[in-house]
Amino acid sequence: MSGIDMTEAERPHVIRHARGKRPQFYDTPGMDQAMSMIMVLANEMAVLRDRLDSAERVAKASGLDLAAGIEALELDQAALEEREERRQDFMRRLSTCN
Amino acid sequence: MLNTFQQADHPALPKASADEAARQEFTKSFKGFIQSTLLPGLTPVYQTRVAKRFEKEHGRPPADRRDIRSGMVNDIYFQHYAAANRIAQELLWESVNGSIDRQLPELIAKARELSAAAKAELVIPEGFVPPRYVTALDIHCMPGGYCSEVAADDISVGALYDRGVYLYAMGYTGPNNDDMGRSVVNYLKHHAPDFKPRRILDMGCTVGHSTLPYKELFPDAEVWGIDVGGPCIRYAHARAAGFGLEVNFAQMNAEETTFPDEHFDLVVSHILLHETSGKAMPRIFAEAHRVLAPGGMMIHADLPPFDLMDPFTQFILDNETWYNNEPFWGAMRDMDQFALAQKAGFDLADVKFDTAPMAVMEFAAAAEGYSQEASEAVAERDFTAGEFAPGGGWEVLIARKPLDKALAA
Ligand SMILES: C[S@@+](CC[C@H](N)C(=O)[O-])C[C@H]1O[C@@H](n2cnc3c(N)ncnc32)[C@H](O)[C@@H]1O
Repeated sequence: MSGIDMTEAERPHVIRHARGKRPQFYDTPGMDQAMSMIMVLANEMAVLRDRLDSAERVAKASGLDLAAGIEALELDQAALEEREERRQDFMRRLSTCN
Repeated sequence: MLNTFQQADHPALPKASADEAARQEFTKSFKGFIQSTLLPGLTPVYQTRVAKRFEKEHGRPPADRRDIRSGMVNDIYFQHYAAANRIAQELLWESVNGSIDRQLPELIAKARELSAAAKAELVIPEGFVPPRYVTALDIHCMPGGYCSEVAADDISVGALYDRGVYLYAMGYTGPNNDDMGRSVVNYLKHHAPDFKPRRILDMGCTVGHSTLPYKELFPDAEVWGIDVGGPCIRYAHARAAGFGLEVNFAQMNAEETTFPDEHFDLVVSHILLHETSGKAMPRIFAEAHRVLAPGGMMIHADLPPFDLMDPFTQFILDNETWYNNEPFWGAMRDMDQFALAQKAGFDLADVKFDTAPMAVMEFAAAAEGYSQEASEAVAERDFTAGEFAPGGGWEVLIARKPLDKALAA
């Protein structure tokens, strides 16, 4: 059976965890897990930044200078409020989910 | 120096989406950052803080790598360094695994198609049992190890190794991950220009990264790669076919192959020995000796033995034993390889250690992201423990079987 004929449920999956005891590096309990989570976040942030860079480059190649437009963009009152609201909401969620 | 090295595409290699590629590239950058920025900080931390504290507590300076380790593990800088290394390793495999999982049936189908069109042999014996030291835990934290299979004709861990090891090595072993094999062949061409092996065996070949240069540079030779990992061997065969190279691959244990006596003129291995065991290593040497024809050569490329380094360097290298699921990494470096070679039947006078300079310079300008300057910088470095491919060369153990056994006796 080739991949095209397979349903989602039939598709095989790779093994995602390595066998063997994971060492602990830090004295503070939970710190090792926290560091792992932080680095996964850092990884995804880099992915997003690369994606935005790609968007700007693709747009530019088709005649739209997004990067220059972003630098020149002036935020009106509505945009300022929208962003501030989003930031505050982000921090609210960030500080309660622990 | 910015590292912009890029792996060369080939038909069996998993294809990454833009986000998958970015995720993978980050892990390569993270490893580069640890090596260039965090690693150099360990020496001053040791000299200014850890060694002094040790001396105060024990009334003597640290004597060996164990002493150094006992002090370093309590230092926050070392904790960050070691945790970062471990996390980079985990992120690296995960970034590749996510991509393989998305396209696994397609990758298996592609490998099958490539293999079916190849003339070279692919041998996967029924009911083969890999040794415990390979399957007991997942070496260098690679999920699934070398042998796990999750589907019929599976190649997943082979594909994982191909892409993952490129990121692990940060591209230092070239666009095709083949610097080790290439360097040993270069070494032979330089030091033994008349040596024309008719048959070549690469033990512990994984996906054939180091194997292919032997076929490329000795095109008339019959080349065999063997490994205990079935998915690796299948992938290796498909990958070689994708490069248009006729190389045979078999799932086989290097301790006990099925080849006749005196069958090969050249038996090689590349970073195999440190992933075996104290019991297996002598058996692998003996087997290499058995299958070598008179006048043939055995060459094992691995990292240098501990007795060539100071204790702090040993300590840094030994972190792999402690934190990267490499149980034999440290112990292997304490083995007397001369004695092993002698016990296997070689004459001590025919055994030596040497350095095969990295071939990475050859990639300059020819491959994406490999600038002349950056490749030179890799090749001309001094030995630095904890860096990948330290010292710009590979340590090789070379043993030659006498041409005429009767004469040697
Ligand atoms: C680090 S990898 C070698 C990489 C490879 N030689 C290269 O240059 O790309 C170690 C390999 O040795 C294999 N191995 C370990 N013990 C073995 C044995 N007794 N016989 C054959 N292969 C073995 C493992 O399955 C693994 O694929």
